[in-house]
Amino acid sequence: MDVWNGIPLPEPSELTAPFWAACRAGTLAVQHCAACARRIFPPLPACPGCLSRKLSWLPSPGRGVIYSFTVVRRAARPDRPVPYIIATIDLDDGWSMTGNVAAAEPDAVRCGSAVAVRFLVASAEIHLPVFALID
Amino acid sequence: MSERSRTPDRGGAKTGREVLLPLRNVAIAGIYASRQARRLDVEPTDLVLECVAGALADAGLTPRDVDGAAIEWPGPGQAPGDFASWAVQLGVRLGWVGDSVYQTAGIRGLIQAASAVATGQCETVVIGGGMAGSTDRRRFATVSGSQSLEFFDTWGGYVAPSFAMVAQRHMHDYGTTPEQLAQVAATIRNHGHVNPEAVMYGRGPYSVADVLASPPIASPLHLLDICLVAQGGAAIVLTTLERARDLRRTPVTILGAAQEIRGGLYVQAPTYRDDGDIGALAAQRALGMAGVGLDDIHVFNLYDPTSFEVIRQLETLGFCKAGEGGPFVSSGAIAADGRYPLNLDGGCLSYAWNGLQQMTLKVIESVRQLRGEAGYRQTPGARLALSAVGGPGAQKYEICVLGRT
Repeated sequence: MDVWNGIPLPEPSELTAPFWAACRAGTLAVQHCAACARRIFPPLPACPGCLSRKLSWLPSPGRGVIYSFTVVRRAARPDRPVPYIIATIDLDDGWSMTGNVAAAEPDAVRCGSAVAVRFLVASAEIHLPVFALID
Repeated sequence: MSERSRTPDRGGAKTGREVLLPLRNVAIAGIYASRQARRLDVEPTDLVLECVAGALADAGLTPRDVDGAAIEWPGPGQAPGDFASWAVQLGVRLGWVGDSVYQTAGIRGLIQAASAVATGQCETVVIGGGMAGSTDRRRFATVSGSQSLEFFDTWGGYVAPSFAMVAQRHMHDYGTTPEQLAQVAATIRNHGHVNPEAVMYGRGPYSVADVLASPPIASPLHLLDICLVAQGGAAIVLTTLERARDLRRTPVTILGAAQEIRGGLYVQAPTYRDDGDIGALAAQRALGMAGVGLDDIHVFNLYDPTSFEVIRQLETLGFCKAGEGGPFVSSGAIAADGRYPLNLDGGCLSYAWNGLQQMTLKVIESVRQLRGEAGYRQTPGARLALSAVGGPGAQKYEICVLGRT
């Protein structure tokens, strides 16, 4: 496993590869069930609503608000710089994901803060999504 | 794991007394908790054997009486990790053997071992295990093994931030304060401060200010809001109630028990919205099976990996309404002299968090109280006890109501 800046880089599976491919193209993507119009994240082999296997990926505008967060000052790995912020982001297109928030001033982060996705080039394969505070 | 409104259906789970009650025919006949410490300089095999022998001795049974086992097999010898090895080690033929470490501990282990007894697969089961030696020096619990969880580890997730994110939203929604969280930590840590068996024995007493002054780990949680990783082991012997009545100790019966499982461990961060009520269904089921309400119960051992998790459970289990957990704990309700004294052994926060078997310690403290063996912290006249483990971080909850016959 490659490590970048204290972050263990994902080794995408067949299931998750489309997410990381979209990140490389500068887009956040979410799994979608055509049968029941449900957005699914993290991705699953079948829809949790109807067990349909006909799942595709939709681009997401990557804007949303912070549902909750934590400012981490003791890292999971000793090589990861602190503080860093983990948050649950409610995306405007109706799904949620856990991710990192980049904020110059961590104490300014609130539940409800507006964010937009950016991408950090960690390796040729992995461009990491990170959410930045916006006005 | 799906889109935002993820609130799970109750599915086919039944609640209340329509379920059969064969667990009542099974009793806890023996218990053992090893010394718990930041670091135990013994081999895991030595520790596990100590716990198995200790629980059998407590019950007044010998290895030859055992015909069911869900006990960690640290080796050496036999097939690595295969619990069937205990048939050889104990010199017996086993009618039932556990096949996952999750069956060796806690209420999940209790339910599954008791089910094996209740359905006649075996008569006397030992569950248990322990963590010791140099295998784990981490200060805080991490979760993933060799395989990285790509939508969790990547963001720097581990146990404390998961619980922290649930707490943060609760504070946002209801105005719960860091002082109220700290009140939980100080109360339970002060219970452990006077327990000679506790890893943190004599390290207090703690005030709310002490907790708030401890280093921030993952907001809103401070160092003293979070349990410390320690080492130790535990084991329990279960047998039929009929047989237990002839043994050394007062039998403790399983009046009700249930689990609630919502997903695998730490795939993504939990949310208060989706996971804040984890345990409500299991509690309804376990209490319904026991035919009792919270006010009938004398002893409570709730799960306390973090201070906030206690507030969440008080609301979810129905001690108080959603959002009222903060003022509830500030009122002194969970103190040793309060209406619902909690975790008098010091809990995970102060007695011990040791990997898997800390979940068994939640059962053991209830058994000690029901037997009247809790010494200085004995709850007078304790006849019903509730133990629970799990929470939003782990995406599961396990709860049981135990009784003295």
